[in-house]
Amino acid sequence: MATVAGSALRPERFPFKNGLVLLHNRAASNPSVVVRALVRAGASRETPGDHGVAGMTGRMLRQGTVHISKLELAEELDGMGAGLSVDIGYGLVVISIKCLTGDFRRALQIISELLRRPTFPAEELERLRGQVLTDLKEMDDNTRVVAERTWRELAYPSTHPYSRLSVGSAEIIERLDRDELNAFHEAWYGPNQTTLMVVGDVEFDVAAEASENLFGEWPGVRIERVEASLPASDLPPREQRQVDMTGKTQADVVVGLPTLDRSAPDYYALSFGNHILGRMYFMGRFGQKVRDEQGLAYYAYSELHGSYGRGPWLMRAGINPRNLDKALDSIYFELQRFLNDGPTEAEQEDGVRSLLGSLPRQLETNEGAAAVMAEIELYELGLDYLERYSTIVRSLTREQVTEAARRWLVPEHLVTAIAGPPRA
Amino acid sequence: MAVPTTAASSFSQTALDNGLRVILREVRERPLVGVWMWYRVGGRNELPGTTGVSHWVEHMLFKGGKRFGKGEITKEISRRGGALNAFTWIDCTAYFETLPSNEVDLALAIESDRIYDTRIEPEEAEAERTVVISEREGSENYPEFWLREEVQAVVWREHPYRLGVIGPKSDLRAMTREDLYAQYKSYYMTNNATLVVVGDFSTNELLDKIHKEFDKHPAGTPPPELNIEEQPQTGERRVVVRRPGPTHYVMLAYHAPAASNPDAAPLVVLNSVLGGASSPIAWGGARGLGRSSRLYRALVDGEIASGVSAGYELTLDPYLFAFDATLRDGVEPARAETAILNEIERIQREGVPEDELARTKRQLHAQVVYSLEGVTNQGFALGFMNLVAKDPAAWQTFPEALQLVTSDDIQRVAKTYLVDDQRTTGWFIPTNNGAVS
Repeated sequence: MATVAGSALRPERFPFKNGLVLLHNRAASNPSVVVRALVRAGASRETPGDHGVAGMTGRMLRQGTVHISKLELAEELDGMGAGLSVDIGYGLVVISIKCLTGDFRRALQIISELLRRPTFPAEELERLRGQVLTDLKEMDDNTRVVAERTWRELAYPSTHPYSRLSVGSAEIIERLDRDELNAFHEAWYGPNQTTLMVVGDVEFDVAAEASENLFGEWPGVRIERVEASLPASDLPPREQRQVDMTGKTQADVVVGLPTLDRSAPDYYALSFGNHILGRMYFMGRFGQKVRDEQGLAYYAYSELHGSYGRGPWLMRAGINPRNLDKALDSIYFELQRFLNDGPTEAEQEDGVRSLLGSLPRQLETNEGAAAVMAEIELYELGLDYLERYSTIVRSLTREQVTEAARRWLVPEHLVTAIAGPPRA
Repeated sequence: MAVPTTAASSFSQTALDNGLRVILREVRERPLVGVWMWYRVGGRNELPGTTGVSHWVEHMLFKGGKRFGKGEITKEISRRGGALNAFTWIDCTAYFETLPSNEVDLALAIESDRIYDTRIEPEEAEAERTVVISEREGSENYPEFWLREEVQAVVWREHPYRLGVIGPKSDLRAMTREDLYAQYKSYYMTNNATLVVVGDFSTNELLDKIHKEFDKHPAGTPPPELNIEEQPQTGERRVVVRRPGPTHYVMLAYHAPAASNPDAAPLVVLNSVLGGASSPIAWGGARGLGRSSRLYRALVDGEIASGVSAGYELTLDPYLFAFDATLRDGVEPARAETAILNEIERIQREGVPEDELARTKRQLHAQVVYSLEGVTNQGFALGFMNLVAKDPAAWQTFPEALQLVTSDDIQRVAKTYLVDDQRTTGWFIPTNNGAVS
């Protein structure tokens, strides 16, 4: 497959009979490999009353299986110098091992064991529960987390998964039992819900054969696309809410609104607009205005989460409470200015150049390549995506970018959440 | 075990007539280049009243010089798809640009402009004052920041390491543009800097370009050597921080030797046995290692803490061997403190069994390998080890030395450095009893 010059991402995709998909990319520049399973068993699978079951199920995978105890697993991984992480998102649970090339087969075997044969030991569940509850308490004390949580509650209807943090709620985590974790695992962990990724210093044939041996006999579960379970949400009314927190010095701010699906025709134009508003140069126009010109914040940037079920556009900043009004005025002003005039000609040109120029850098590491491969698979972009990407970006016009921003970044629906010290 | 390299020769180094040290490493796999400029100035080169000045100067070096006006440095790098940033640490200030290799001239031009021609306009310095204060205030929102700052202020009586990097608000409010400019002029000069470039270039061609950019700068008056010797600590010191917070935190900090001390390698291995391994020479590495480590098992599996870490960093002057624990709800700090001390004593008494030592060394080897992925990280490793170990070859020789450490070495350094009289203990006690507003 031809790629953008220098990107060196040539993924191969191999679907197994049971629905498992293997994505592989050989990169030999570092004698290591990233082995990753993307399971469509994230927080979006939860129903009202079990917010936290996806996270606890994911975290419990490494706490003991049929063939290996938690301690044996810890000692073996440390003995390999391999790092195992489990991350819980809205759509996905991602189980990832980074290891030296020679340990690839064992790493894949461990991932298979964790996915297929967890036992959810009761004693370990109690131990983990205490840890997670302390983590949640720290999150309750974290201004960035509280601002985002408040924003989500205001921006999405309570039936929508994005209306809460994917970690779940303390009340529910306090009472979850192992039967519920078992049931969640049985319902959602299966080959037809899983994409396996092998990125690094391993040949395709080796990866495919090992995957067939370890996952070929894994029976499927019922298939339900994650996006189908997400209700379309009404846009929220414009609102601003402050959460007062004692002992804090800085206010963290989240401004934004639900936008579009990754598959929406406007996605690339809106993403380009966000690049100019909140990323390019020095954190975009927001960073340039609020930090560089006015000196009101250490950080100010924006991000677009194009995913299933109207992902959010979020603008984030950390601001001294005395400067809040002035900073918010500037943020709203910069957004409105963009909606009025769109990008300048120079910004449009620089935007194209910077997005295309940054590809080799993004793909330099195995983790970077894995992130792009995951996006290609999850949103069915096609293995020629990076080849087409250049054309997609170059074909965007200033008018398209402006129109997309006007359609999706509607000021009347902008929700602002602030978490920090009480204002005088 | 040798650190794998992807080129036959690891790197080349030279010095220009004006004292600029240059370290180059060709890595031709991808059309990328990582450019790093390291200055020997940081928190250790500051005095009370102007603490935080080095970090503030770092911010000002993005604000324009002779060839690049305000905002142009980030703009020029960004529009080419590059990345750039900088950081200030107790021992150094470093700037990097990573970009397509055919744009390397731009990075050299930026660093050449920065070293002598940064303007530091008064109104720009003033606007940046609130940005730096905001950076500090962002950290102040975390209980661990208050605890660490308090502990560090007590560990040393004389050495500037006690003042940290960001600086107290009183200094940040009082400092003037002249203070910033004086610091800039005292430390930014070719003979106090090292340029490191890693990536897709030909060494000879790049050297020509470097000469063209940097030969014109004259050497400056060498900055004064830091001549402060910390008086020996003669008994445990304890501090308590009472503030609103979600839970208790505990920190134990011991005086520990500098990177140049032969005990640095055994201390890195000891640190890894206790808290799990991370790469001592570069950023990055794998997450989730170290769950078989002594402290994880005793404190996290032991249901005392939700998280625990040990840290020993490579520094120019003697710094810290420190432990941090976030306590589970309802656990008293004394219990965590005792649990950490028990693990230290066990190593002092028994050493480390061979299988555990082998496991730890494997972790260290792997983390070093992972941390050298990409030109930016390799540039960091070369520049950082050149700074703290005063030898860029240490990016390979130091990881090799880790593999030669024995259980006896570990036991000896644990007995030498992790002793009660050399410890400062800090407790963070939530005044709201952990209740969150």
